[in-house]
Amino acid sequence: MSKDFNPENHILLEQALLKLPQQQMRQNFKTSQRYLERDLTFLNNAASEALESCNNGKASPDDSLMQLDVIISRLQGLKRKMVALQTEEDVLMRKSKARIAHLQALYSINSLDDQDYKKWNRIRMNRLLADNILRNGYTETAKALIEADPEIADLVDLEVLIQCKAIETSLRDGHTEDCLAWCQENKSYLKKAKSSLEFEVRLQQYVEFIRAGKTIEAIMYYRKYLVPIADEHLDSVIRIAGMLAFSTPEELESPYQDLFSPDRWQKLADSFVATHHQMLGIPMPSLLQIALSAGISALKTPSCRVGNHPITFVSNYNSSLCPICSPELSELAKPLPYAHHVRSMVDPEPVMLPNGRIYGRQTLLTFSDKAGLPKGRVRDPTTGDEWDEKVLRRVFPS
Amino acid sequence: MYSITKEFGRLQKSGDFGNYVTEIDQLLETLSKARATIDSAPQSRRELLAIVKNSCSNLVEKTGNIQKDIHGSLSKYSKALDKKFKIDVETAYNRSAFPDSSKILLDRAIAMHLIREGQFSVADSLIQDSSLDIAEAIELEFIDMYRILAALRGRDLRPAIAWAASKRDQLTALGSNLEFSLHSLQFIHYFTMTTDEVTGLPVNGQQMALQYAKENFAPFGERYLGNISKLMCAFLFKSNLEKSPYVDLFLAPTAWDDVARSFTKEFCSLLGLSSESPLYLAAAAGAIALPTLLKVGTIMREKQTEWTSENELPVEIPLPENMFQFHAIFVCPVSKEQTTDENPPMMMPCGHIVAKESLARMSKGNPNQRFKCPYCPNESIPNQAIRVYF
Repeated sequence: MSKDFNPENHILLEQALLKLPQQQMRQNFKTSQRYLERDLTFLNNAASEALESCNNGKASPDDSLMQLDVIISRLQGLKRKMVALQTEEDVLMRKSKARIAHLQALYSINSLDDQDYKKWNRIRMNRLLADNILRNGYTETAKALIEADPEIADLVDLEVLIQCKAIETSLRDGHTEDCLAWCQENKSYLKKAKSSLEFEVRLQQYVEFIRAGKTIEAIMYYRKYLVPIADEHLDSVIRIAGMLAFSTPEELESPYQDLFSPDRWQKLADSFVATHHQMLGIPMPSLLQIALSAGISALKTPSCRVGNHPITFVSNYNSSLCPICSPELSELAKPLPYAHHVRSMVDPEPVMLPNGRIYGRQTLLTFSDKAGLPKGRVRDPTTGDEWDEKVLRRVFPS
Repeated sequence: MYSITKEFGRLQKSGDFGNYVTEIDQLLETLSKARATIDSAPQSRRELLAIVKNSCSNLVEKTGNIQKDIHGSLSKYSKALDKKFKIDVETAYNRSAFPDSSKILLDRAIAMHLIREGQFSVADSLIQDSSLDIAEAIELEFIDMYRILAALRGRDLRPAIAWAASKRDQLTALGSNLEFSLHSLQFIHYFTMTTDEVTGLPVNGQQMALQYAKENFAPFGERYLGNISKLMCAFLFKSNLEKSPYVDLFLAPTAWDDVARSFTKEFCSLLGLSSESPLYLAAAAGAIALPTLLKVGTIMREKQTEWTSENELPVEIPLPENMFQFHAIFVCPVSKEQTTDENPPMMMPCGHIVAKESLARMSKGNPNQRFKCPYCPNESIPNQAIRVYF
């Protein structure tokens, strides 16, 4: 199994690569539907009316021209909106095309040793890095990475992740405008997904008015935004009305502690990101995290630990090169389980040194020779202790 | 993948929003013509307004058709994607993998990866964006490494040799032959040279090689006498090196790549790092491991169990050994469990090795109870077994 290269397996990690632009295309399509519906209804009504008012003699020629001008300018407005959508659509199509080509390239690879695979893997690595970097909001770094490897430009969802981060940050800072605008744009999805994001954000805005002692604003806001959606969130709407009965925020603390808690905005920000990612088919952990959680476990052994390895020691198993033992990953590997093995893998012809360490005989002799030891002497590559070759003892691990 | 490509092709053809714009443009043209005509000949307006009305309702029909096309091909494309990606990749994710506290560790690992890959400006940007504190010294080391590698690619061994000479003691202690390998390659490079690389003029390469050997090989005489003799004997075969016993040594096509690889490895070793980026290796292994873990995740989801806190994966992940095996693995032949620090491998006097727990089980928990080795006729007691290390 490990010898054959199966592109299908490698594609699994790449779902979001195609799904995200596809989701965006769907949204674009829905937006276009909305525009068309609204503007075409208007146009048809206006055209009928123009004809009718001409037929029944109510409109003068000048009136007709004016009616026609209204129709033309409305149509021009529709054109502008459609051209904007077309531009967006073109970008999405271009990205999808590049991504399909990127995945398609896997199908002409025969083995993991292929140079082509290594090249492909480098591109993917940079893509995973860019994704992870963007999720942390390091926009400049992501741009620098894309500049350094232009091949990933169409494979990274730069704008989407930057926008998401911006809204997340503004929510965390206690600003609702950006998030509410986003909710407005994606109203139909939120409704379908029965998301309470918008309600929670509005509720918090109300709480903030009360916190600031702005009772009138709070009541106005409550009436305007919370009452209309009271049906779906009746309990909460009734519950928070009670806030008005308390005169100071300090008094409120006990019954409404949850809503006044400082981490409410943090929670809202998290909830926004979850909703956003859910909608666009973006996994919550970064792709790099998904790949690493699988990869680290697959590589981890009970012997992995930091800095306990001979450095330049070549045996069948070169522990100094182990990524899990590296200073970079050893800490990250801690929470993860190690791989399951059902058979031993040790160097051929294992021999034991008096300190209990086991190496392949040939490995040990080659190492000792390279280290410049006189013939007949051996050095433990791990501890540096030296012995006469005669002390080697053959052992039988299985 | 085939159906995705096919459906995407269709989408490209029929999903173009430009079709709307074309229709709108046509209507705009009709409208502005109508307007101009009405302006100049008001008596025609009844007729023209009827045309306007018809054209407007035609647009409804036309855009309706375009919508149908786009919707159809888009949903077929979506279906092709859904079919391909049935399982959510997150199913394979171990939720305890990256606690919040690990963010900085991951940032650091990424920065180190970028430095190792020679992406210094990107790394600098990340260090700044994420306020990491990575010693500048390490970056300078890698800048130096890439300088030396660039020279090697240009067939210039001098920077590498100078570096190896400056680290001679450390390299020797590690059992590395790098410095001599570099000299040896320089000798071979001269020996097989017929024209000067810069001027293109003919040169006496063998003379240069001899001169180089005289100047540089002496300090290595004691340790590498065998190798030096072999190199010098090549002069006997200089006219037909291809048929000589030295063909592998002198005309090895991968010699430069090998030396560059070995240089990179030793260079990283002295910094306490491995030569291939750990992040790259782990992510590559992850891509291979993912399908298996997706299956595990799916089963666990069905059974409504979580990724347990148990410290071993429930299944074996087949990784290609030559790339991803870094430690000897000992699985106790009796219990079939991997040995760990808590349950270490123990060697009985006969030389057979089992896990400590197996030893206890075979001797019924009594450290002085005699028992027979499961693999040979020898008998011993657990107290005679010694801890071994793989």
